[in-house]
Amino acid sequence: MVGVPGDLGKSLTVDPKMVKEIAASPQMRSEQGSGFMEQYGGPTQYVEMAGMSPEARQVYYSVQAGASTPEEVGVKTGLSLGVVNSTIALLERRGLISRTTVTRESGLEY
Amino acid sequence: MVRRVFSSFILALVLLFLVVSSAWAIANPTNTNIGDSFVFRNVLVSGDQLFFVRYNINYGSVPSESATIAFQMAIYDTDGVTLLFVRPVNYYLENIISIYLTPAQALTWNATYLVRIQGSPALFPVLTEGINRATVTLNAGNYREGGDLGEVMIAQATILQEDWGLTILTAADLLNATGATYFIKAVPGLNTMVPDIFQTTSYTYPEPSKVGNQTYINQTLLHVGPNLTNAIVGVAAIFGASEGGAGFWMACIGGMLLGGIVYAATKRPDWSVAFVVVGLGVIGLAGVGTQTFIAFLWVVLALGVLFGLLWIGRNLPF
Repeated sequence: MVGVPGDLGKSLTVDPKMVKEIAASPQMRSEQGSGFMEQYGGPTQYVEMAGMSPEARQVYYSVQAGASTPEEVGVKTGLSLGVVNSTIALLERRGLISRTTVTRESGLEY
Repeated sequence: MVRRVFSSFILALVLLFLVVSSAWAIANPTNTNIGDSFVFRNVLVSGDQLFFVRYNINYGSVPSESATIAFQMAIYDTDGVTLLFVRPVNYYLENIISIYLTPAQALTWNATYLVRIQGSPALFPVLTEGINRATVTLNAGNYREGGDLGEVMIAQATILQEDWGLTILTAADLLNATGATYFIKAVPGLNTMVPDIFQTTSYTYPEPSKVGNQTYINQTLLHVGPNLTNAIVGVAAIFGASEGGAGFWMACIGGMLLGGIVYAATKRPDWSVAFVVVGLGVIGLAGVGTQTFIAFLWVVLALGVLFGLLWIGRNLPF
C-alpha cells in the first residue's frame, strides 16, 4: 500500500531528476529520512508518475486512497466518467492497477 | 516513371520534415512564473554581480527532455529586446538559477533590466508570456548588497523546503548536503561567497599567485666579465657542449693549473690542494657556469673522503 499525496498527485512538487539524484546519493538519501517521497509511494514511483498526466496520477492515487469503482474515482478526482475509464484502461495497460472483482451494481473494482 | 520518382521524393521530404519536427518539439508547460528575483553585488570580488531567480516551470507531465536544453534564464537590456546574458536552467518545476557577472561584465546598478525564464528558441518557436516565458522588470527593490546574500539564500531555502517537501536545511537553518548540492548548482561559487550558510563545505580561498623569477640566479652571471663569457661561449661552441659544461671544464682546468703552480712554488701538496679548492670556490662564486658550484662541491666531497680514508688508515691499530 503506497501513500497518497494531498491533491492526489495532480501537481508535482519537484523535478523527478532531482528525486533520482537524491535517491542515488547515500548522504542526501539519509538526510531525507524514511519518509522520502513516501506519499507518492517512494522515489521510484514518483519518477514514474511524474511522466504521466495529472489525470492519470489523480486516478492512480484515488485508487490507492480506496476508491474501488470508476464512479468513486470520479467523485474523488472530479474527473468525468469517460476520462476516468480511459485513464483506468491506460493504467491497467501499464500494470499500475488491475481488476480484482466484478460487482453487479457498479461495474469494476480495482 | 518520372512521376513515381517525383512522388517518392516529395513523400521522403514530408517524412523527413515530420521526423525533424517531432525531434525538436516539446510541449508547453502549464505556466511559467518567477517567484523572486534579486541582484547582489560584491559577492565574490569587488564590483561583481549575481542575478538570482526562483522560478516555476510548471509541467503537469514532466517532459523527458532535460530542462537544461529546454529552458534558460536570460538577462535583457532595458529595451527588453537586446539579450545580454543567458544560462540554461537545471530543473523543471519550482527551482532556482543565477547568472554571475564579473566586474568587467557588471551592468548598471539599479537599472530596469529584464530577467526572464524562457523556453529555448530552438525548441519553442513562439514564446508566450506566462506560458513558456516569465519576465520580471528589475527595480531598486531587487538590488541588494552582497552582505544580504546569505540571509536571502536561507530565506529562499526555507520556501523551497516547504514547497519541495524535502529536507534541505538543518535545525540551525544551515544548508545540509541536499540543500548545498542544489544551491551550488544554481549559484556556482556560493560556498565561497557565503560559506557560513552551509552545514559543511569546502571552498576556494582566493590566494594571490606568486610569480617566480630568476633575479637571484642571474646575479652570478652579472659577475662574469664579457671576455670570460665570450671564452666560455667559444669553448662551448668548439666542443659542442653547453655553456655551463664548458664553464665547468674550464674551471677544472684552471683549478689544476693553479694547483700545479702552487705545488711548483712550495713543494707542498696540501697547500696545492687547498688552493684548488679555494680557487674553484672563488671561480664558482664569480659565476663561471652554474656547474662550477657542482664541481666545487664534488672536489670538496672527494677531498673529504680522501682525507677521511687517510686519517683512518694512519690511526688504525694494525
